[in-house]
Amino acid sequence: MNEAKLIESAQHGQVNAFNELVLHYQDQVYNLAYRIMGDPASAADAAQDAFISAYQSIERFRGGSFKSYLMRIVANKCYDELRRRKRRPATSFEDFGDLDKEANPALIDESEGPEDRAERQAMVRLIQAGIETLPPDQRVTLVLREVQGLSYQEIAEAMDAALGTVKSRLARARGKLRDYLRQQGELLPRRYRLEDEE
Amino acid sequence: MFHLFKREDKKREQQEELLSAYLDDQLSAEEREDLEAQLADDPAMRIELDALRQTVAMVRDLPVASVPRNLILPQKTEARPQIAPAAPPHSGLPASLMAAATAIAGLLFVIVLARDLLFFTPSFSSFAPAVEAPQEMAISSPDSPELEAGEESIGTPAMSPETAPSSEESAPEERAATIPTTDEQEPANDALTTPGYPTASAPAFAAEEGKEGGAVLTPSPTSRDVGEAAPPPSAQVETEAAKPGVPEEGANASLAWRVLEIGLGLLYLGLALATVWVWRTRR
Repeated sequence: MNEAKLIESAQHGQVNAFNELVLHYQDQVYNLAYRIMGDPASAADAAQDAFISAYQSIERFRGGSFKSYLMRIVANKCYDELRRRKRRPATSFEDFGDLDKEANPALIDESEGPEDRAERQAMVRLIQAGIETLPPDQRVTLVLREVQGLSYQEIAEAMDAALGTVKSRLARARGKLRDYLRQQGELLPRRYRLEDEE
Repeated sequence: MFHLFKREDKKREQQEELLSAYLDDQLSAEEREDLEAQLADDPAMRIELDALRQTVAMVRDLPVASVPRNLILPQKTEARPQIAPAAPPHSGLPASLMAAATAIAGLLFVIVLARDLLFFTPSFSSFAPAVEAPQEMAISSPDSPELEAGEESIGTPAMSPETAPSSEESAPEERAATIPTTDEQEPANDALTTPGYPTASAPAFAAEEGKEGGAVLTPSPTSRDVGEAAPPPSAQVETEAAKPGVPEEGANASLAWRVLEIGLGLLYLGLALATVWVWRTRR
């Protein structure tokens, strides 16, 4: 895939060229949205909106990492949606689990044995539930860092925030998630529990 | 006590930030050395660091979720309008129109201001002696029984040909200040005794022209008794001024002009700022 050429074609209004980029990045974009939003339907909507926005503003893309450009757009979409929902009650842990199993079969690794799979799913659900307890700004920062692997600088650019703010948000997000996992420790399989003793 | 908790929270936050940055290798060499020294001495801090590291590892280990459906865009997806976007929100209001409106507002403001300065200022000064000459005010008060009794005697007889005032000036204040020069006689009245409307010239008349023998202007019982009060500056002035409500009308008109001035001034200022903004955003 010649990314630069596809981008140039898309800048001239060729939807097909842009759709090739969509097919290449849609899993990453969706995964980011999924970890931030917490449910497949909202994540798919956010990802779709992000691609539409990316296409409509692609003429302003002036080189650099196209992946970062997409990630920035989807992170902002999710962030806006989370802030809009702020007053609505969060999805319960049980609801999330049902959605996870039904609508996100990709989380199930067929190579694992049934017991391992169950333990792993429990861990994944608990971590996802913990992420969803975070405020939107901390949640997006954490996911961009830990799930997408962006650098502090890239996160600062994506969220239009200062580097110090990113550091602070990330530290708080990690600390809160750690505390959450400690509180919910009994729900985790033994091998995933946070050890408080050296 | 509250401060202690707050300080502890702050300290904990700072420690968490250091540990988090340490995990990502974001500390300077000096900070790193300090933190490692603290970690060596503080087992609780090491536990926090390990728990943090484990948490981060678990999040990073989350499986990649695959998209449940293709997100390709439909063929008819339109790119954002490419030529039109430059249109500013105020494009429907030409800058030249704004400039013209500003100029008109400015001109009106100047006219109103000039008119007020030329025609209304004296009317204000006419109120000043009310404060400066409380004696005359007290004399002309309608509550004064002497005045009520004397009103009739003030009007008619006092105007002699010698004391008849000039009627040429239009402004009552100016006329009031003019020394009587004509023989025109008109029935005098109690204009200067009208409550709340003493003129600036009233005391002057009493002082300067009382010698001439007019007994009308100064409505004090003394002057009436003696018959040596100063003559009225103008019978016509007195007639106009004697109408009850004229002072209120004058004050109302003046207030209306003031309001008009302020309104036009604000309009002019607002239009000027808007015009500047329009011109700047057009560039």
